[in-house]
Amino acid sequence: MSRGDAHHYLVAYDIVDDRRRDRVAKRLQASGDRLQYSVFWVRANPARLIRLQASLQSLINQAEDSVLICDLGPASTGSSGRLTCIGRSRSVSGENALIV
Amino acid sequence: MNGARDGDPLPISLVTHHVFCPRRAWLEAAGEKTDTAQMAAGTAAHRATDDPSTGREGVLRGVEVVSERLGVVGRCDTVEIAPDGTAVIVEYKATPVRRRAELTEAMKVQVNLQAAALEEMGYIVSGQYVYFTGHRLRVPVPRTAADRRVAEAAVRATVSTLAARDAPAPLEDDPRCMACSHVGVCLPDERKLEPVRRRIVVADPDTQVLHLTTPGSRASTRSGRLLVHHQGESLASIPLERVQAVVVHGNVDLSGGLLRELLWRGVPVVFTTGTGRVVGWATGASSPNGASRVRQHVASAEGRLDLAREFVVAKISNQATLLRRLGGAPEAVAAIRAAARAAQGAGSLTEVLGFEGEAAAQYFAAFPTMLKGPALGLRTTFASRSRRPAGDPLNAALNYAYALLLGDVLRAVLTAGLDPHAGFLHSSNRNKPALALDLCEEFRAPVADSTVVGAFNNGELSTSDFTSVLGITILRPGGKKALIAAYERRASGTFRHPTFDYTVTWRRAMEIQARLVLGVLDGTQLCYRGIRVR
Repeated sequence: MSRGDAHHYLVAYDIVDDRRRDRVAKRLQASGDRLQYSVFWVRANPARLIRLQASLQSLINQAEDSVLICDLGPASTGSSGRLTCIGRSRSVSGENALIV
Repeated sequence: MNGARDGDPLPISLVTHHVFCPRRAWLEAAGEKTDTAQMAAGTAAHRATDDPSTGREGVLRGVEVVSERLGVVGRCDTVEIAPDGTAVIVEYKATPVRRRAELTEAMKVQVNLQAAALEEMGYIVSGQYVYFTGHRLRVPVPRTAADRRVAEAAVRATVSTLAARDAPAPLEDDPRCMACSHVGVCLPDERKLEPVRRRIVVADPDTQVLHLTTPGSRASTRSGRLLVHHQGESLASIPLERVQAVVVHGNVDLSGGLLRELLWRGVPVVFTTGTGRVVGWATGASSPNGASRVRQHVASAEGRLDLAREFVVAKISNQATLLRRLGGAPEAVAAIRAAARAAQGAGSLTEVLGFEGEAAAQYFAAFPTMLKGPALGLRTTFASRSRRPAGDPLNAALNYAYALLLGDVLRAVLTAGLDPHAGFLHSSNRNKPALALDLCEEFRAPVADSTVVGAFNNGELSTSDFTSVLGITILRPGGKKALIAAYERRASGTFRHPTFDYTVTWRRAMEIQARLVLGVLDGTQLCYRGIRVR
């Protein structure tokens, strides 16, 4: 385990303007998986998190919108334990090799 | 000679990095790219606008500066034009708050060069500062005669390093390595080829390897994600930034847009046939270490017996070790070890190849003794190692596993900037990726063979996963997926690297070994040491 290890994050947003909201959703799609309408599950190491935060900052209107980033801890501890879904659930990207 | 040609001005940032560490500058000039939180923070900080002393008129951002006298170019973060028309340089630094807001040698050189260049361009520089964005502190940078001399000497030293034939040695036991963004490609502690005392843990790449195996499926990209569809159904969707590698097995479509995206991100794509033969690979145009590639070709043409010998000795040792651990043929193990010892003293490539052949004959004759449990039945069908065409399940599985290994090794070679084709053991005359095949040798037994034996022995693979077409045995789709899964488990599994005595994944080990070959070619270290598993 090192400082550069990836963590799981929950990213939720409240964006007033439709077009801005679409752009934020699109940016988050490039980094993580959509869990709910405005909630994303992102797995990122520090470098990617910094870049994500920087792009979100430039996309939103700081006075009207809000984005919440919640650190769920190191990714190495696995994702399945932390997420409990009630009702319709969406899947998140796996951790290992993808054989499709 | 690396980086700029004679006469091209040097980037001030390169001189700055040279002050930090000459090898760091060399790696950057050679085109090595890394991505760390430090660098991302620096980029983000430069977009910050919360320095309270700016926001006035007369603040120029991103000012390009040139000094023909010194032969440098650079970019000032900000240049403030004071009311009297003089210029004040402010350089932004994202030094972590936990560290002191102190000027380093490198920072002083950087700002001194910027000031000198700005003056040559006709400005009068009345002040120069570093603004620490984390601490929100502005610190003046001294510009005494001594400081200017140090800066000019730094430029000369950088030119000299880049013009040298050999790469500079890494710093030894230096705390600077702990925070260096290039530690993963520099491998400072590994160059002595001894057990490593301190371990600078390089973070996991935190990415996934994607194997496209469903015939008729199509991979494309949209909104920064990689999508896989088959007959209208979505098979997978993952963010592109989490893709480490793509392997295309057989008849799978890859959209041009996706290929372009992957190449731009430096993710090589390997293509194999449905029966597991590597047919080709796609790699980006930007590749580091061009000068070392030239040396690779020269060395390959001249021949490097030391490298060829080491590849084979490691290969043979690992065959013996696997056979000893899993098989029941102690005489074969002894014979293979004898061949390894003999190969160590071989005086020509022909001799080396001879011992390799002897060991292979013993190894594959005894191979069936490693098959146990559900795999016992396979002992009889495996007559001998026959590459193509594969006449039985074991050979078919080995072919496929070797192709998977070759794909991984190809990626390691390409990432290190080496040419897969110019090798030292395999002949380049046979139009195969000789260096990649050379580097595969030490991994064949511990990674590919052990995967296949393990998969058969614990029932993941069985004869029902194979079918025979015109006398050739091929893997069925289910068997293919099972074998790939087993291989991936092995490749991302860890082991204790015998040379450095630390734990590392097999996949990372392939990258390290590729960089050790590069180190021999660019003069970083004298010899290569293959992985000899204990």
